[in-house]
Amino acid sequence: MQWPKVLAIVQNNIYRMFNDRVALMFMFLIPVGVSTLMGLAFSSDSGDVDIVQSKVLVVNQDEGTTSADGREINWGRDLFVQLLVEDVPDGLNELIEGEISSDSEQAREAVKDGDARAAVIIPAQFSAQVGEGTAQVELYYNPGSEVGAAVVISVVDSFVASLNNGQAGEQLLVGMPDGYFIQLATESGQFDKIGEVAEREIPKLYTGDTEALITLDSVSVEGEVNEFDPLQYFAPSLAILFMTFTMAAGARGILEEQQNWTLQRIMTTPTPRWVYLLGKLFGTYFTGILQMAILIVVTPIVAVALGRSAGVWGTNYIGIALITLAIVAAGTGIGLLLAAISKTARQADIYGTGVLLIVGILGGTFVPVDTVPFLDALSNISLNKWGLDGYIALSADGASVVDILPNVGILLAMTAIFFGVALWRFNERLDM
Amino acid sequence: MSTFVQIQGLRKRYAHDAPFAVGPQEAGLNLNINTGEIFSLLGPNGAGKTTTISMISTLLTPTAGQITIGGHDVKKNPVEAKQLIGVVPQEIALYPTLTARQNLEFFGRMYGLGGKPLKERVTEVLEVIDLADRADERIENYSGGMKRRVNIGVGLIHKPKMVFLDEPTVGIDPQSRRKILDTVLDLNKQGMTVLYTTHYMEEAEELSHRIGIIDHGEIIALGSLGELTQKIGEKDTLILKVGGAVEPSALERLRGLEGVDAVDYDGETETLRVIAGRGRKVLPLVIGVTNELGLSLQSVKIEEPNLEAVFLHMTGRALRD
Ligand SMILES: Nc1ncnc2c1ncn2[C@@H]1O[C@H](COP(=O)(O)OP(=O)(O)OP(=O)(O)O)[C@@H](O)[C@H]1O
Ligand SMILES: [Mg+2]
Repeated sequence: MQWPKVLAIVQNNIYRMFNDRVALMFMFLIPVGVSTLMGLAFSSDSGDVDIVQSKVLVVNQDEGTTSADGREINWGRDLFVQLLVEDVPDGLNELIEGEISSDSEQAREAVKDGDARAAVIIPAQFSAQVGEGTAQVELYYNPGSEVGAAVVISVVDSFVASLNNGQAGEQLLVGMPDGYFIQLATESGQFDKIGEVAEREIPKLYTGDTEALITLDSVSVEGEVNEFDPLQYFAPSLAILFMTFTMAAGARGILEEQQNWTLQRIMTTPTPRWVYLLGKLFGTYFTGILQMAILIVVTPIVAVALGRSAGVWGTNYIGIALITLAIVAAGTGIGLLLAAISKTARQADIYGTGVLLIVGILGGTFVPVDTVPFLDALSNISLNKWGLDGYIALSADGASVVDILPNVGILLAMTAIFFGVALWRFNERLDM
Repeated sequence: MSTFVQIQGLRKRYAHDAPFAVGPQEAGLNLNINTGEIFSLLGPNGAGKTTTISMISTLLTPTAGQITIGGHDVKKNPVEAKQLIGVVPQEIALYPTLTARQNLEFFGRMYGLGGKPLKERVTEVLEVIDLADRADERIENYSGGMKRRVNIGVGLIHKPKMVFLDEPTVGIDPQSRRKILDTVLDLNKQGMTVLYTTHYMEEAEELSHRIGIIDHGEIIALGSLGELTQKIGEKDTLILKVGGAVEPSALERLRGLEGVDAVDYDGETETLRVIAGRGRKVLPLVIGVTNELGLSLQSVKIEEPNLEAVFLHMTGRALRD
């Protein structure tokens, strides 16, 4: 029976790893420390509205209508598209960045994913319904992004109010340069107060007591969506980076054991080579799982201590477990590959650290690279990218287990490739 | 007397273009080790001792040749062969951050031992290597001698029929060396066959039933201490300590003296070794020449026949530490 031997080698490796103070520091203290620092450095909750430019998607499906005097009217185009996208008044343009979107579903997805703060969806019959008093605009927003959503809601609110007020005097609205209420708001300089301003000013303009023509249908993203927390990025990105370091150290242990002759000594016992390799790999793998698990537990505690949200990794535990199992497998693979192509443990240490850093940077460990044209494509070869992408999907975007299966699949494919090459190289060199 | 290890036509070269580290001649290295004996391979650095031991213990694949241990061909039945032997490498092959006990337990498990029998065996071995009182300290905190003893202990964990010891006394203090030699003698008394390699002739002389002198991958002399020294006849070695360097021409003059068989000079220790049939008779002649050459003699010693002399006789070189 060889399994007790595999177990003995696994235990031996884990024991030695956790008995090494320097290794422990690298495994836990440094990743927690660095991700905390990065989280603090990239923190955005200063409460300063000016720095948040919220992306608002405008989906104008309005087909327009013809007015009594024969003019073409398209309220969706003339008001929403005009004032939120094409000719955003000064002041407001510091707060929102309007963008046309052609598909309402895509727009809703974008808000859900956090790519936009809100979507204003204007239905096909909007202009026609204004005349009938049944017009409705949908404002789809992300409640997690408090500041941005508040601005958007009040801006849209005031548009709607202005339209409602235009019920009696169509000409007033059409002839209104750049939107009267926007002007008011600009003067008052406080966009989050725009609704309030509108409310105060509207009665002065409007004398009738008619029902509102347009109702605003505000729909918030379902479930709890939090404001993006830098820790949701840096905790997983750094945990993965340092996990790959641990995996490389584990695999490098094979070379170390060859240099201090414990490997040869094991080979003089009735123990086949595969038993040794399997034990070594399992030992390294479990160490990596333990490291990730401990970091996943510890970083939220640190976050709470810093007065941040505890949702650093999200609550989809099955998803987190799957990504973790897969990313550590890929980490074990790349670690083994690095050891297999190195001549000595020292070489594996120096070059391996360099390679892992490059792969990590490519994968967006320190700064996201998905906006850099060439790196964006290149980052696909980085295991760090797929792991990080999976963790963030789970924590920030509320992804389901199915959503992250592609990440798991890609990571497992990478694992298979790494192992294939590494074992082939190792088999050649263990033949002494 | 039965044969425990049989080595036939053994050859090894590390690369296609490298010279043979073992078995430079076509016939290769041929050797039998008998059950119950202490067999020593004596040779200088780079002679091929470790290469030979590594092939017997299946770490290295021979370029040519056949090895059987206890009747098992090591290539065809490695598991059976390995179970019979305990290997003590020249290096301290231990996990430095584990304790002696943990190292013994781990390697014991590699032999398939476990549970209470393993625990008991570990305690026994710790007694044998005299480290029971410090068994729970990390190897990295041990002295060189203690590490060597644990290194040996691991080779004994599964009660092998035979143990291979590759230069087990290198770089340690005389006391630890004494302890190790006594342990080897003890184990052998209890019936264990021993293959011992060393480049210290005193160790080979004291321990061995038979000795193989190895040089450049070849066994150049084989037999008991008595048989080997007889090979060079009842010859003496004159050991002369001289102050200052000795020119090659001076060595030639000494070699030309009547009754002198071989001469070697070690510049580091400034020692001349002269082999002669009758030491006492050639001594005056040798001293005469050194005086003539202006060498100041600091001491003169006449040694009875020994392995050092055998090596010098066979190779024309001294077997240096
Ligand atoms: N892995 C290797 N690759 C290439 N050459 C080697 C290797 N190991 C040993 N050699 C060469 O083979 C020859 C025999 O070496 P070996 O280590 O067997 O000698 P040794 O008798 O054990 O010496 P020492 O007393 O120094 O331990 C030497 O010339 C050595 O340089
Ligand atoms: Mg050697």
